[in-house]
Amino acid sequence: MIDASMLPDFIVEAAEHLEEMETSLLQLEQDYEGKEILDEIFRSIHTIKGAAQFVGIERVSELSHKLENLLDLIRKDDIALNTAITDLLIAGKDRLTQLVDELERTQTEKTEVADLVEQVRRVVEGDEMPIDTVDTVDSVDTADATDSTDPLSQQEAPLEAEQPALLAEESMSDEYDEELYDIFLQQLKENIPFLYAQTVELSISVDKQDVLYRCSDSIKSLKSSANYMGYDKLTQHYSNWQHAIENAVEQLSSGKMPNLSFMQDYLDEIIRSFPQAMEGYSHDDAEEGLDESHEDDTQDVASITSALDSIFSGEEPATVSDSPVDIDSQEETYDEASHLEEEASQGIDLDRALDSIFSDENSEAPDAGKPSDFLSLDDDDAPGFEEKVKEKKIPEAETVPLEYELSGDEYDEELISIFLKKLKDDIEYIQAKITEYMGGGDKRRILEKCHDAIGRLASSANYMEYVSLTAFCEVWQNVIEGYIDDISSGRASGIDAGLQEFVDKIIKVYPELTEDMQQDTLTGSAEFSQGNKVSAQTEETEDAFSQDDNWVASSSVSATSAPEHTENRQDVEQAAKNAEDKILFDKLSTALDNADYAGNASTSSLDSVIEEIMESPDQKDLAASKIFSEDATSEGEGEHTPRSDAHLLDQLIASNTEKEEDDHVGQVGQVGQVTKSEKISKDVHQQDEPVTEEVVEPAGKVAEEIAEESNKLATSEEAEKVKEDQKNAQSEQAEETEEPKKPKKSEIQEKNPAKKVPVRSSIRVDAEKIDYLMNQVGELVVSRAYFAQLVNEMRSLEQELLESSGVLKSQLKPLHEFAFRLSEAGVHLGRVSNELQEGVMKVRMLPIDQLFKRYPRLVRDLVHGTNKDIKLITRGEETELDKMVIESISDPLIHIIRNSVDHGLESIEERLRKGKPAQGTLVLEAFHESDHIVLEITDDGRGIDSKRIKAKALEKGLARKEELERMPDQELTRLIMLPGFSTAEKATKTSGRGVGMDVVKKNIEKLNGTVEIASELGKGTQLRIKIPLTMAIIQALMVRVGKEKFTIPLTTVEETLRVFRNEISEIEGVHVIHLRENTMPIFQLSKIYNIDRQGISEDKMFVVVVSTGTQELGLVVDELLGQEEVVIKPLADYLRVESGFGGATILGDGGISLILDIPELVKIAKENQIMKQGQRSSGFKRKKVHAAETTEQVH
Amino acid sequence: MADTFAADKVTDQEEKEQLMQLVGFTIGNEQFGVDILMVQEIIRSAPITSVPNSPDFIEGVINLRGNIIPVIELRKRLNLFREETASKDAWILILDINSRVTGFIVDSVTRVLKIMENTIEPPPEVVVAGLANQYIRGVCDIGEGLLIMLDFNSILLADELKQLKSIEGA
Repeated sequence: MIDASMLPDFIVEAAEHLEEMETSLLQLEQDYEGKEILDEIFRSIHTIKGAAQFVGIERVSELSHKLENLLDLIRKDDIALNTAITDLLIAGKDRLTQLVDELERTQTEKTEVADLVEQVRRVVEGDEMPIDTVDTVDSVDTADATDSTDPLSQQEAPLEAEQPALLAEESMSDEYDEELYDIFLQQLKENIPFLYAQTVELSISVDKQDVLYRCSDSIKSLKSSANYMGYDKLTQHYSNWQHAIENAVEQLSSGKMPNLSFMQDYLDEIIRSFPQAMEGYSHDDAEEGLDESHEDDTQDVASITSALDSIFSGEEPATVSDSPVDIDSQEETYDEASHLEEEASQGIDLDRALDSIFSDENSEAPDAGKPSDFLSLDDDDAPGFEEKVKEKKIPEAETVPLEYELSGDEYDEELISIFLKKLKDDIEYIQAKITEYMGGGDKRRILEKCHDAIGRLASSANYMEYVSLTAFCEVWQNVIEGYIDDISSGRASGIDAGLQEFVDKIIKVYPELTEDMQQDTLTGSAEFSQGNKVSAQTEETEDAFSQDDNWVASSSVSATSAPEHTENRQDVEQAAKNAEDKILFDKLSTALDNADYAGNASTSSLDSVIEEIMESPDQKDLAASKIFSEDATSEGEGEHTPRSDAHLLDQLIASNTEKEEDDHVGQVGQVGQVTKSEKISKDVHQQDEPVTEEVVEPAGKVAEEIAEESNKLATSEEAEKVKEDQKNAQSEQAEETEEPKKPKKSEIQEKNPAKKVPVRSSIRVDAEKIDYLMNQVGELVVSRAYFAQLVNEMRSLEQELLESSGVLKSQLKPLHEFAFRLSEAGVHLGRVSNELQEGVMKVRMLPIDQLFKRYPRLVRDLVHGTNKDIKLITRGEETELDKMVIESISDPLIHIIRNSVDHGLESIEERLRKGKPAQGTLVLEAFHESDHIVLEITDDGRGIDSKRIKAKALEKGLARKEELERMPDQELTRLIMLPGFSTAEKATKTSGRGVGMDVVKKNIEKLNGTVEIASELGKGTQLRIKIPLTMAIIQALMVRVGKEKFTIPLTTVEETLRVFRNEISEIEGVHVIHLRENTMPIFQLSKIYNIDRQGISEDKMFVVVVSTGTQELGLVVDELLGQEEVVIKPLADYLRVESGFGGATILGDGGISLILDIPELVKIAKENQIMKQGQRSSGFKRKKVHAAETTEQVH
Repeated sequence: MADTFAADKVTDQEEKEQLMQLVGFTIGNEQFGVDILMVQEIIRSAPITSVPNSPDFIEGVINLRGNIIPVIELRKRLNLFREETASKDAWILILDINSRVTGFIVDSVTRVLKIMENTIEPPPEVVVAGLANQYIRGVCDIGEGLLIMLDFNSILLADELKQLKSIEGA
């Protein structure tokens, strides 16, 4: 059902797209390789299809859908372009245009599309066959297509042979109908991307079993559909796949880690056989890479876990007081382990875990009631954080190379700007959500919203065909889904940092998205690190000193951790240098020193860290590590020597110790961990996986103890500080966590104004409204003139008072001043109204491109089937002119182009014979010339033969022989514009009836324009059309005849002369003057209009030389009043017809002046002339004048 | 009570439907009427700019607040009363005839009349006051004489105007 309310919009939109499409199609005809053109066509048809489906216009959507399919195949180089295809595309476009026209007129689709749909289908499916090797139906169609002499189908055979796919040999009997196959394909399309996503998720997911089950279900349904279709091999393939999954699940449940790469293999096989199933997915995404590395890493993780297991089991009951010993021993091995960390850090899962832990820490810390040092990892140390982000990004970056995909030349600018805006909005939205998230609130809901937002982003990216962004978003959607699961299963979660990173990544890749935004972020964070942090940390470091002293006493670990700190310090130095922040650097190094002493509370902090890790929402990784820990203990040794396990463990412990120190420092100062953030983060993240459940319980206890102890500490002056740290940890944490957000907020604010800049928006306005506005502006122009007149009247009044009534000049001073001010006001009003007028006129202006776009098709159709080769060149498409003008010159231009193509330009043979290039050239050029638009239509054809014109003119009795003999060539060529004139021997299907040029002339004259023809025999012809910019307001010459004022459009005025009586001679009853070697007829306006002109000397008179384009003549007037800008007002039709008046205008004093329609006037004058003496030329109303002057009637 | 009230209303409605308001005007001694809904305004003696080469009955054009409106001398248009008795201070009835705003010069505008629709009789076969009946919509007795209701649509028929003009011009 067609949605009537949407229909008008659809029609307008579709018409525009069809127009664009036509232009592109014609280009495509010239350039089969034009990828961009193809893309443009594709986009147009796609938009039409989408809109048609939305509105419910069936035929349009069906046809456009088929055309889209065809185009898609062309784009993929599966179908080679040839004339048959382009003709089909053009035919399709024409049919769509027709349908849209019908919709506009009748709101229904009348024309059938079945024939074209069938044609397109044949072409499409004829070629789909080789790609889609499972398609049974297609083979039939292919046969059909081949039979029907479709050249395309012949390409299929080799293509098919090239297909190496496993399933390629699937025997395609042709007993299935298309519908079934469509359903099958549809199912495939639904399931394969799902499986694809699942495979990706598998590599990152914790609950692999669950994912595998889901995959299995999907495969099962695929299998049954394949079975139904009778695709044995495919069914077998699915069965094998299912088996493999079952095995994997078994292995998982028995605690083993199966090799899951088979998923990818199976999937690849299917995709290879059914490429269409993965539409919108990039095959190049290095999914396998992810998968494989994932497998390896899980092994690593497992072994680490097992190692941890064994060690932590020993220190399970660790508390603040007794743990240092354990840690001592653990830390001894730390240094040795450190070299391993690099290796380990490469693992994808590790990175992912790292990623998640960052975020966990953010949200976890406040919950634990502790000052969040981990937060500051993210927030305080901006450069470090960024590095980490990069590091963390690796998994995504590997899987989904997020590339910059905007390329202006390839894609529609408007689309891109829309996309960017959308992207920006979504990113802002996500950022806002992160803020909300960190501020508390329903985490699940927030995450769901983020998920949706990313989903939206993915779909718009998909629409734009930004493959990597789409995949990137999808991966992230999965990640967030995971978090949501975690939350719903009751586990705490925090992915704000993760999300932030997502945002950052996108911003990084699409810099134009937020060029300013990113700057804000950077400067924002820089400010933070310099301002807030430095000051805050200076204070807090001092606090830390005092507080740490308490701990130092019990610290036996500090010595052992010292070497690490040296390392850290280097890092810090580096970071500080990067930030070029000396002060910060100094503070940090001080803090580092402190940290050396702060190592005492190692165990407690360590445990709390571990606890946090355990509670962290990145349960996938943790769970995975849990699952694999058992495996690792039993099997892991095979791959990792106990020695290396120990190293890893040591490394873990050592860094945790460090972290714990940081914790303490951080409780007050958050300095230590800032300095070490990078290092620690690395370490911690490596440790995340191996953390075991056993650690959790003691860790909880420890956390409590820490809380207690710090409470105790809160007696001194630092009490407040500590309290803040503990009770209001959230607030502090919020402060910290908000750090990345604050700049974001400002970004958002800054972005709002920035948004307006790049997006060039337009609105559709009813033309009537603009006309109304135009009229009102016209009124304003008139009242401005009235103003000026009032001022003049006032001045003369003043003068009169001064002279006649004997008022003193000083007494009149106020009046004088008032008159002056009034004139000032008038000038101001004039300025404003001028600008307003210009502005409104510009609103009506449209680039002539709109018009020019229509003609390539015209030329193509005209040339089609002839032995002519014509190139149409358009120039000056950007020239703007009034929409009304554009519309009224459309038809004349068609006639002119037809003339040029049909009569002007020769056939290829004739051109070659004449030594011209085989391809004729037709140039359409538009440009401004003062207040006019000039359109030049130039061809390099045979030109106009003046001899033939003479002969024709004689034959048709259009002119007398003597007249013709006297005529210069210029004037002869003008004869072709006479109605019924044609030199063509016989009328062709397009032209030759002698109507064309007459229409041209009439239409152009209606616009107060002129047509000139210049032609050189054998070289070519040029038509020059000159039209005023707008029709509503024109420049005009005001003249007076008798008491009447007339307005002559300046476009028609060539010059004005002053003529003496004795210069006028009479030839054949016509008054003529000699003007530069030529004789020019003159007519008295007063006689044409029977206007009484009493007492005006006939000795000298003013002559306005006007041109009708074909001829010049003089109009005798009594007075030239000057040039003025006048607003054309329409006259009632019965006043306009055959009266010689084109309209009227209102003068400054409110009076009316009639605007002369010069061509019409000339016609009337000539008719009068033809009417011989004695013939009563009554009918003019001023009978008395008439009676007096009848004898003097102009001949 | 309520019923009576409702009934009153109905009759009111009916009356309204049947009642027609006319603007009465005179040319010479004859009374004419035009539906009040067609009358846009009534002005007196605006400066008229004559349009050369236009039919005789077209007096010219006036500037009505920025719009140029043709003015027809109704007396001439209807070929009424040959005698040239047009007073200087004529009235111009500005009528909106199918969105063609046109002014008509009349001798005087009398008053607004209310007549029942059913009292209007079709134009008589014989010409009333020398007026071709194609321009008459109906005739109505208003007590002090007959009121001729003019059909301005046909008065303004463009084809006819053109035709008239060409006849005149020939």
